[in-house]
Amino acid sequence: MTEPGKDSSISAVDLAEAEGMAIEPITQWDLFSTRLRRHRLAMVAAVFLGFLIILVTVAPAMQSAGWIDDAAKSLVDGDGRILRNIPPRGSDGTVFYTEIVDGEKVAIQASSTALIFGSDDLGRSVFSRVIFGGRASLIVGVVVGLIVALLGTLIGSLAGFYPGGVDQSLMRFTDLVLGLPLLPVAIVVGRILPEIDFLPSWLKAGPLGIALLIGFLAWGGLARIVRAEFLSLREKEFVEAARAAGAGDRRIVFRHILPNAMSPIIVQTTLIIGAAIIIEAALSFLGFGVRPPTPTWGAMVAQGGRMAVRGFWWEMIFSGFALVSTVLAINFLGDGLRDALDPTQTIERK
Amino acid sequence: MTEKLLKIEDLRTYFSTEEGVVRAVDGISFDLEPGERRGVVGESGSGKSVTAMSIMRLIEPPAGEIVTGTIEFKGENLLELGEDEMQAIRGGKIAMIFQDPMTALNPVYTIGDQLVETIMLHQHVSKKDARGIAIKALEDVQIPNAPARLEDYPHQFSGGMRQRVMIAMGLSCNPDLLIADEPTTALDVTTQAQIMDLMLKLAEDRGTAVLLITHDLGVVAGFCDTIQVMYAGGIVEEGSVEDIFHNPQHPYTWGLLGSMTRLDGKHRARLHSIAGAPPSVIDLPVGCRFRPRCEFAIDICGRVLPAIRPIGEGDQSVACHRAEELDLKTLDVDVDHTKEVAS
Amino acid sequence: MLAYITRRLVYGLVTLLALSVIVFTLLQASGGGPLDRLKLNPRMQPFIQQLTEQWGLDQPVWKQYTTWLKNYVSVQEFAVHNAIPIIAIVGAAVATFLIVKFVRSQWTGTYLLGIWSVALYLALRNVTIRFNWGISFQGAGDVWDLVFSRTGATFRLGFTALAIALIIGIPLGIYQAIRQYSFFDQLGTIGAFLAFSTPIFIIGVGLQIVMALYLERWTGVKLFYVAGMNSPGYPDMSIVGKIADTAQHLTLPAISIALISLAGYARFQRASMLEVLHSDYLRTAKAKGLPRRKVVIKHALRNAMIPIVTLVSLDVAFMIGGAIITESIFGWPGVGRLYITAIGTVDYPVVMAIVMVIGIGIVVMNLVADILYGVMDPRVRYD
Repeated sequence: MTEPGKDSSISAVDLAEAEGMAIEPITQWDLFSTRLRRHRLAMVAAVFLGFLIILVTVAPAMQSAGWIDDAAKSLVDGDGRILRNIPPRGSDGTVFYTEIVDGEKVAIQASSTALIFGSDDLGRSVFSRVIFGGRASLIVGVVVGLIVALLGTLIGSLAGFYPGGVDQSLMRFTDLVLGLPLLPVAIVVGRILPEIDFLPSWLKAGPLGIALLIGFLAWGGLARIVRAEFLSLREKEFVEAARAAGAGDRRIVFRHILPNAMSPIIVQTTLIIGAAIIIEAALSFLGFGVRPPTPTWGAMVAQGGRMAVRGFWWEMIFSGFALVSTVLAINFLGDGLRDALDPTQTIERK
Repeated sequence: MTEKLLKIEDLRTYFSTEEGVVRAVDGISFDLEPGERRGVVGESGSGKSVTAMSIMRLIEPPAGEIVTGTIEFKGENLLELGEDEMQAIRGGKIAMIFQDPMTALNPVYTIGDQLVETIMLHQHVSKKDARGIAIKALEDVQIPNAPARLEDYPHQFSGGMRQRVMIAMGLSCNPDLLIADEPTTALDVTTQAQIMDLMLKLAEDRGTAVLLITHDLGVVAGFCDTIQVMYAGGIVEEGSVEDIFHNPQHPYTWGLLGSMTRLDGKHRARLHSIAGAPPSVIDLPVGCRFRPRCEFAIDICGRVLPAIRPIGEGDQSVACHRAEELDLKTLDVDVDHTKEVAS
Repeated sequence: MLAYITRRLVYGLVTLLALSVIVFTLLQASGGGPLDRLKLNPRMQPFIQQLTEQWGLDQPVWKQYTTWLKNYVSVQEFAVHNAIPIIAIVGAAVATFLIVKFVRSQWTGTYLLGIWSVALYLALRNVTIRFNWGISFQGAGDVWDLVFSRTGATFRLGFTALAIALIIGIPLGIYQAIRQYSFFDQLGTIGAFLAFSTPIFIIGVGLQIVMALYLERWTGVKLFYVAGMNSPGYPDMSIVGKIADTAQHLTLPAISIALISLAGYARFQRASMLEVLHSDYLRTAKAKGLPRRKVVIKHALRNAMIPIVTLVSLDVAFMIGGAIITESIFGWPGVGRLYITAIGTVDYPVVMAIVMVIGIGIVVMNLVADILYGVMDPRVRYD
């Protein structure tokens, strides 16, 4: 019930030390990590996401090592028939398939992972495709996160720090971008992207092009938040004090204002990453996102849905589950970060 | 002796938090005569507001709970009343006004709506009559152009004016007891004085008893008949304003008085401050709760919690083992003791 | 107030212009253009030249854009059937003048909004108006007619979904706030996180497969239809049959749209309710002796509903855009599905028309949201 005034806590420490109690200082990082660890779901989410990032990063290496199958190749049985729509089975599966090794057909027993999630209508391993599909989602998440964090922070802080003309014109521009209907515009761009002749091929059909597209449409919300933070922080006494001490604009922005505005930036960016992954999946679901043969979860749900109608449920279930759990993890992490970074929360010494 | 208006015995209100049980009010007892104006003084967290909220029975379970005690109001134990009966008392017999007038009024209803609502709740009158009473109440608190201002929203009033509206709302049903929780803390000094004068006049005219919760001893001096000083959930000293101000018996009261700015020129030298911070009400120290900050503490203070007991000829009571041997009023409060204790 | 509305409308117009330039340019950038399909057909060869000239496809892009813009805002057909539209508009204008001039009340915004909604509705019911939005490149006819033949279906779906989301979401949020940290509250929180994290197409396809297909396969009862808005035999059904048929088609797509908004409303309502419940003025209301029910209903709800109004207005604004995915999944004959079809075939008069309708909807509903906010919260001032 004591008021968390600065003076009283200092004298409390003094008193405690006078009475011979040892007091260890609590740093900002300690506070942050303690609070984040208290948020169990966020911790589980962080571990899950870390695991996922490692998995999709090493996926090509795993493929060359033969641990998982080629996501683009059909599995074929000993007689050369494509193994279409095989239901999931464990390592005791009796299915054999062949691979062309040095021009020779070699019969191979299904690896333990080949059919763990079954095969799709082209006989490709759903397990491999779910892992490789994660690459598209995570690339979109990371790239959109970077673009939004950079653009949103840059534009928001410029608008918030330089009132008047700069602020007015930047915020009009932000309002304009926010006024664009995201999904309809993204669908148009996604549709025509592969047909624009002068674009390099990696932009046309891959996840990077989609990521850039979403990123450039989605920074407006963060810019507004950062501007509001800057507007209020600019008037705070500690900024006045820094200015009185002769600090320049650069120092004030980078040393005094930006660090205090970090928590909304981090939280908002996390939430946008989740939304971006959903939008990419939706575009791919509609066929206007990442183009085949690159596997994506959105396209797999679309195809899996068509298969599920015929009773082959596994492609949709596994790809859908991967998508939902990834976005869920990101949202839980965002929630945990929000709690952990909130400076108004207090933490009691135990 | 007349019947007591309010008689509180051994009231304990605890809150359970993540960190442990907060003993916000821990065994306090006091009485209030009809028409008596009593100041409740103490630092933040000493349990003043929780006492008030307990009387109003506005402590929200499950976090907060009145563990034991009785609150007798006009011979009736409020803690045994049903919720319906309690609602009739709240705002009707006991009214309360709060610290921050800027946020205590609902922003989306007009002042008139909120006043009329209160009046119609406790007096069985028509809406038209209630409006008349509301206008009268606003005029009583000296709000100019009262009929027109009924139609205004809270944000159209200044802070002082809003506190007048709160007082009007509190007094509109002629309560026997008005609890004012730091009514002037959020206001500037000139407005403070005006509001306190107004409250004094209205309370005297109507014979309303007032429980004034504040940390400002200056406000108490001009307004109250009696004072109780609270520290860490308990009452450490109580008595008439004269006794407490001229003859403090508890080192904490003495320290509080020493920290006052004096305008009579007697003690100009240096303001006194009490070293350290109030104890956490979760881990209360064994023995006297003020001991860690008390410069007169001796062995017994660390072992036994002093009970409150009468002292001297008047109505003064104190909870200090050494009250008789210490003659605090002869000590020069201007000496800066803080360093010796802190280092 | 009027100055504020005017300024907002001007900004909205700028946004709409930017939107049209961006989308128009993008459509132009798509390689072969809209005639690609026709070119594949040998018998269409003689007409290619003629169509190109007719639609101005050989002109520079800016020229095509200005032609499109001029046509888009020009009225092709306008007929007033009776005196009602004139009376309604003039009446509304007079009423606006009188209200703005003489009534200085918090409710001005509501009055104006109400009066103009009724006046415009009456006016539009009694006129025929068509803008020159061009003709579909894929032979689907006049774009104005094409788009407005689809809006009914989209609004039926959108408003049903909105009603479901509001009726369940708002009380859910209130209940969660009042019983904060209860088991039910935590269940609701987890449910909301799940709904936020599940893309609408997974909900849609999932409902379609489980509730429509597998349910029938397992139980033999056809409770919901997989796709479409009505069965082919609809016109011959009885009233009860018609209602049942409509519900059987509408339920699944409406739920899949509603679920995410529902979670959003519940979250938002819970947060704003909690804020209000901890406010000083609610303590005042309790200290006045108001019964708990009245404290919650009269003092808390009114304040806690304020932010929700904005959220709901914006949801109405995004109704057409938000239905795109669901309409494609459930074969719902609305504007969203038309949009996907038109994009697939680069039928750009149709794409442009729909993008602009979506944009206009957002501009108008943003304004409506602001006005409603001012109505709900007396502290808001427009300047």
